[in-house]
Amino acid sequence: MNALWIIALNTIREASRQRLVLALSVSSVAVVSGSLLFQQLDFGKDELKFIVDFGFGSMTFLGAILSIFATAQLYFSELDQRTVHTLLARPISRSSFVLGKALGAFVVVCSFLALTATTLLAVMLYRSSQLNLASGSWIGFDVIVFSILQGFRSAVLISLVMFIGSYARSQLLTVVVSLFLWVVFQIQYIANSAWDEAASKTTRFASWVLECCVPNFEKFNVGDQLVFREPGLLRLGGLFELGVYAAAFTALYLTCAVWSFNRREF
Amino acid sequence: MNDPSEPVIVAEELVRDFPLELKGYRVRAVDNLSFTAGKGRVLGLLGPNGSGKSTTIKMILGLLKPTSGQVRVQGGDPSNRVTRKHIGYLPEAPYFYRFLTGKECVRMMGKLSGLKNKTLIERVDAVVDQVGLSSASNRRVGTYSKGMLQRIGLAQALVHDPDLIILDEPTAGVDPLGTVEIAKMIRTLKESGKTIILCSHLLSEIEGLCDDLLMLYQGTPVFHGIATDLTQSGNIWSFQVSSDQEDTEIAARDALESAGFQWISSNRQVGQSLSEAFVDRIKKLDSISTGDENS
Repeated sequence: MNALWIIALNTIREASRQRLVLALSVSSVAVVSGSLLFQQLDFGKDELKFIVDFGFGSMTFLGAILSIFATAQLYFSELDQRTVHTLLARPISRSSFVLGKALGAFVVVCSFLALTATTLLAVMLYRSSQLNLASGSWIGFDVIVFSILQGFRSAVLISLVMFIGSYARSQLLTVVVSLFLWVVFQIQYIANSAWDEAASKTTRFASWVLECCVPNFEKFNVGDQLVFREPGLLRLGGLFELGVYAAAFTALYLTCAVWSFNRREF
Repeated sequence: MNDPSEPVIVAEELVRDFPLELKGYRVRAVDNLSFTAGKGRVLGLLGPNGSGKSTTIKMILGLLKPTSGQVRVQGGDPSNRVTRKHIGYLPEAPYFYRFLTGKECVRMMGKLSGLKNKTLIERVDAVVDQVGLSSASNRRVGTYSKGMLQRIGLAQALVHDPDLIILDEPTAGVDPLGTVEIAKMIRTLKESGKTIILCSHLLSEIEGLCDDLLMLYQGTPVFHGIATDLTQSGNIWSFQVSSDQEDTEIAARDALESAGFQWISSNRQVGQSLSEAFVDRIKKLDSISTGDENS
């Protein structure tokens, strides 16, 4: 357990010096702050929802990009520079290495989400005071809920990247396959709903297998529900349910990553 | 006393194949390799490039599994992390985290080896001092020269006071003075009962250090035994004499021939070898600068 924390801490240190992490963090802050420019369009009260939408988009897209690229980079830097030899020659288990790297990457992505959420809240506070809106009319709590949900989604993505990286021979392959699967996860619900409607038992079984192995990332796209108070508004129970859903897939992919990495030879 | 009969490493009929991209084709990197490394002995692992030295080291470290055969380190399987507590490893051309200072790097490796609190601090300071990097230990590893990287690599290999130390090209990139110091360090480690596996291409450096040799060629052992058995076959004696006078060479030759030796050749060496001269000069400069600092 101690080794896991040491590796995680070292991963965070390494990530904090990576240009990619810095560039994406700056981009995210710039995008959210840039949404203030739309006040020229005079949306009035709806402008806040527009800003929130901008911020949520930034969290979803840049958060996923960071989860995939940073995890792959942090993992393969150990392999390419052969520091993994020095580490694994120590009395540590390979699972500590995999879980430590994943935990480090997760903390980095969570920091990114916290930074974006804080910027978004600051922008909203500033704009609502300019528009003389009552404090209750803006949706600060929903921003926090949304960023937590993106944290869940990032945990699944990071564990997926670790699994692919545990057998892939190159960083490029890991990134390409992860990006492809991210898209698949986003549109999983389309295939699932189409198959669910099918009469054939085989197709329904295939749909069930797909649901068990491939997470439905559409479940985390609750920005509109939160901002526009659409029907099916996420309650605390729903948030917990999504947390369990993400944890189950994270555990599944991390178990596969550890299993595969244990068989990897250097 | 060190007991060479007490083996620290026992390798039995090790075979390691690597699959090629072409289906069904395999390359045999190590073929039927059996050897032992006795406690407190220095084993030199020699061989040309591609002879299986690195593969053998990786199998001892548990980074690679043998295709067949087995290797035991102090009776345990090296793929078991408890067994690796006894191993210190300096990789070839070591790379460490550029953003850490030398001391942080050694501390991290010490922590991973289970050292804690006061013991950790003491051991880190001791090994950093031992490799002569105390003055640069708070600098980032990214600013280190190749020789300094090698030294910090040695420090991290020794920090947890392992019984078995595996040094892969320990003097690569190190200047002659550093090479002499590392050789001295290896002797000290050996005297303190450590078992050392020394892998190097620089045979002249290995020669005076190793008790035993394991020579590999295309994955197959071609010699395993006491180093002097390989180097001193044929009773060839070598004398090195010096004199200020020109005519003493003939007198020395006559004396040796009359004692029954066959004269083969003589070399007139003016002064020291380049290596000796370099080491002497640097040591003098070091002592002057140390004197300046003290004064």
